[in-house]
Amino acid sequence: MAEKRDEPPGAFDFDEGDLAGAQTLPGALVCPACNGMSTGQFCNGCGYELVPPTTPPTLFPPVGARIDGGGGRGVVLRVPLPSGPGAARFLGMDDELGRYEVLVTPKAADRERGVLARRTEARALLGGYALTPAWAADQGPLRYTVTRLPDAPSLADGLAALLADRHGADVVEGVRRWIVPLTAFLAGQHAEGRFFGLLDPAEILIDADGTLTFREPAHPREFSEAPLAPGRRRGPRGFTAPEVQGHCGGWLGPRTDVFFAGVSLYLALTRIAPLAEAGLSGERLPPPQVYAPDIPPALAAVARRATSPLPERRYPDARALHDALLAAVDNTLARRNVRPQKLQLDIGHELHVGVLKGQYSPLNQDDLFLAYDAPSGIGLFVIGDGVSISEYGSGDMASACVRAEAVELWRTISGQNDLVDGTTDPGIAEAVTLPGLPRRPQLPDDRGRRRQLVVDMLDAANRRIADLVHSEMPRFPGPPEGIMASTAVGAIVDGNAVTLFSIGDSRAYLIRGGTIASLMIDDDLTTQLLRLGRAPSVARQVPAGGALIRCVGEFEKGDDERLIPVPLQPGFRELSVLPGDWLVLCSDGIPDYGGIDEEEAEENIRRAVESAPGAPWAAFELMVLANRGGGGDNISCIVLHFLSSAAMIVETDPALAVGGSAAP
Amino acid sequence: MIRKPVRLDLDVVVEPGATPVTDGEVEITALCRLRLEASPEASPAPLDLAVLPLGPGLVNAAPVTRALERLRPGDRLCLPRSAPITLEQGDTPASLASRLEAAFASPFDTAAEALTYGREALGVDRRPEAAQRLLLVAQSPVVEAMEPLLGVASALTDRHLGLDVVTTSSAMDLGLMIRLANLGGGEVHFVDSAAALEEAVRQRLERLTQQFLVDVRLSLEFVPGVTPGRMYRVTPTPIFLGNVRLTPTDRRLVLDPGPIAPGHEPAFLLTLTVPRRRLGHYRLVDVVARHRTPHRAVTVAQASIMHRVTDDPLEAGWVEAGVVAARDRAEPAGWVEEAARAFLEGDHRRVANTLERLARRMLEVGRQADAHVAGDCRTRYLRTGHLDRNDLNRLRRIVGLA
Repeated sequence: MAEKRDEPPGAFDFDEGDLAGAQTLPGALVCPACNGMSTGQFCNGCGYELVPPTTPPTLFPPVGARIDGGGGRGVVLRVPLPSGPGAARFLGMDDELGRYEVLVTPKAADRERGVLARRTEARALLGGYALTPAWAADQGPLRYTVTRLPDAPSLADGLAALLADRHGADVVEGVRRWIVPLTAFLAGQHAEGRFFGLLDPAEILIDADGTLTFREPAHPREFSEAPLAPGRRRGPRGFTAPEVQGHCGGWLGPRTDVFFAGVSLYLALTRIAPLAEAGLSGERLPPPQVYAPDIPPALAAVARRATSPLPERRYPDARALHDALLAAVDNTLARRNVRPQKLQLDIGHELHVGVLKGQYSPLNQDDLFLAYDAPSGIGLFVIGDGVSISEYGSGDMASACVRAEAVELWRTISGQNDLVDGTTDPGIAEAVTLPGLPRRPQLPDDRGRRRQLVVDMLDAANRRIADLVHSEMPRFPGPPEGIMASTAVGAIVDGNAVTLFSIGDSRAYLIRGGTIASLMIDDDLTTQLLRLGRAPSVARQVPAGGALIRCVGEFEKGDDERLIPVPLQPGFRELSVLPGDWLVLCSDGIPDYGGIDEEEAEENIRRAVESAPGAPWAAFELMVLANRGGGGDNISCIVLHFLSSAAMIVETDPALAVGGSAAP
Repeated sequence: MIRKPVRLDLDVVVEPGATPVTDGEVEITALCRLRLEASPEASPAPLDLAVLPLGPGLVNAAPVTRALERLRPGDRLCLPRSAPITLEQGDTPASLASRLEAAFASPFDTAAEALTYGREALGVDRRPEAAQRLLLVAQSPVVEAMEPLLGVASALTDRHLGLDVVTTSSAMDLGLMIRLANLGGGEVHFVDSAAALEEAVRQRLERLTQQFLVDVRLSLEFVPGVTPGRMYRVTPTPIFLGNVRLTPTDRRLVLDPGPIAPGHEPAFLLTLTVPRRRLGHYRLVDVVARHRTPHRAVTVAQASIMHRVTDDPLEAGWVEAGVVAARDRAEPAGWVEEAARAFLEGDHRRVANTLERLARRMLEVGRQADAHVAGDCRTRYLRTGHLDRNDLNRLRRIVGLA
């Protein structure tokens, strides 16, 4: 270190920067990460490895190298591919632009256990699903094994093509082209007692005929080896099940293959890029309809179950998944091709304050309306869930406004101007029973006009809330966000054509044949962020992500401090129902308390409904389910069971036989 | 080459071992495992064991007496109100029965008394080649001030004394017992019958009598810039050891891993936060296991927690699934204590959320029945607003703490 002495200026001028980098200790090095000085292999200041161990130069050739196989054969290495330790892989092309996979292994490697040997064993197990090498060549210490690739694109390519063609190809065609061959292949392997555990969509080639081959043969394992203990693994991001990363005990088995196929189906349906969050512990993938609202519910239900983060909840093997997928495809096509027809409708409903919620808030803030005319097959069903916390008014008043406007809409549809709202006690809503109707209810044929009826109804409810506020406060001083509000979910039924609508976070489920599918999406902040392309891990962690961004009770304030109702934008969905379908409309009190988590709650809802002898029983069981799970929120539900016109409905309560003189 | 009769190895697995250079701050989990290899000619260290019955009232000595058949000639047994007994060839539990009956007939009234007595008894004619251990057999809940008791217990660690607890009392504050046992790498067993009590003591003695090393210490030295997070013992039973707090000047953590027997070596899990860094290979923590052999030599096993920042996506794609699985198993132990703490603080939302998280984790690891226990506990809490000792003890049992 230079000494500082009291010298006259200029006598000893130096720039301390000249000392930068000087070694003050023998063998000391400047750490490039933190600029500290340390001796030894690692920096004492930040742990950076100052002296990396000497490693031998890599054996493997670089991209661009040409491999000659003699006899005019040769390929140029173009793109490196993932490979295990001790080997390298490349995509190569010959002079005629033919594509090849080139595996490079050291000749001296253990031929019994090396990469080449394992690959040969995998090929033998896969049989016709694996490619046979075209030729091999030795150059220096390396062996090059060259395999001609068919023209078939990979599954990864196919999903990318679907993403690029988001609004083009039919979703069922996409599933048939890319997913059915995959599930059929896996079903065959599982039937022979083999599973994979780790699959890469880039290595699975599927041609237009549905023939599947592996670019790099995946090594199947025997069922007797399952479950495979957790170890060091690598899988493609967005396709690996949680257990591959060590979650859920880390054990691999056939259900791991089910997850892989399920994610592939999910991406084929939603046409989005693979989500890195797939495979995160404990987090379901977002509902598919968040990304594509019109996804067929049967296919969405299969994708949801196959991608469950808990292995035990997925299909037990690929055979079950394949069968469910084919059934879902058939169901989807049946819905598309069904003719308009009248069906019998069995109706149940329940309204309960919730055993726990009622202890501290005796007012039920849920409300509902239902009306049905059997001869015309037209009905209106609406549920409203009042927001608990509001500074001006209360949730029960808001949901009552929704119900009141539903009554008005039914008056319009049915022409019943003398219809009386049957509610006598503001705390307990009752179904409206109808006197004999002078004419059958009528709905517009046009889908747009039907939707407009709903929009008008909800806007009118919005105005009704504003009127209630202004009846107490002609000038409204506070923030509009504090005004009472309500969700609304409902259905207009016209024979087998159902128009579903939703604003808020109440739910509509379709249940059929052992599957349950949520039909609408929540209007909350988290869902909105997902739709805007935020990663699920980011969207879920936003504070107050469950807060509603749309509901009945939305206002702006004018300069005169009068409330200006905001035009509401509910979500819509058209659905053709089939005989045997169950439609459940409910507030979030049932899915929130129906199980340990939402996935279990949905399964419990499905089981309660499908095991019930009729819709009224089903509604009652749902109410009991939610109360048994804690009953911490108000509970309301309407259950609709669509039956063929020849079916018999078990009549449980004549008061529920709404619809004028129609006999059930 | 002279091969040591007893060899202690330390291995470290890190997840993720490599992260992309584009990532910002990274949380890393390291699993540190001790492995013991004992050659056939090696012999386990003798055991000095103090058995401390905690009353009040009559404490059943018979199950403990029968379990003591695991002791070997040369082991020493310390009991209240009697001189230490060094077992000789031919000694059987029956020959000790009368002394045990006498000791259990007058149990200690408080744990502080029991631990103080045990420490003093084992300090008399101390044998440096012996492993020393306190065994608290509690058949009634501990009712005493916590901080003085913890002070007595922490003084045990200065003497390399570890504590195990076996209790049959459902009203026992297991959380307090776990804190006591944690200090010396001990375990807590909550049993519900005399037969289970005997089996728990027998199993514990089986490991205590297979220790080849004494006074083992694990020290971790953290490189500046690395922020330690949570620490867990993963095996033999998952325990949350706490949030690691260091000062800028003292970057070392020392802990007692507890008894190390072949096949029952402890493993520890540590989370670290590492700032955003340039490409390179980094040492994060130096881990050293020091121990004394029965002949007083100090031997060291050493390893480092390493991490690489890379621009190779294939290198960054590897996952150490074993580490993730170990973390998933260990984390619930901390959540139960977090729920207990949140309840005492009156943070009801945190209680409910923690219990929900616990139920979900039980589901994830395939333990449906335990998931429903946790879920029922949560539902009961939502209904009553109360989380009592029975609920907490039930939750501790399902996460394997007791």
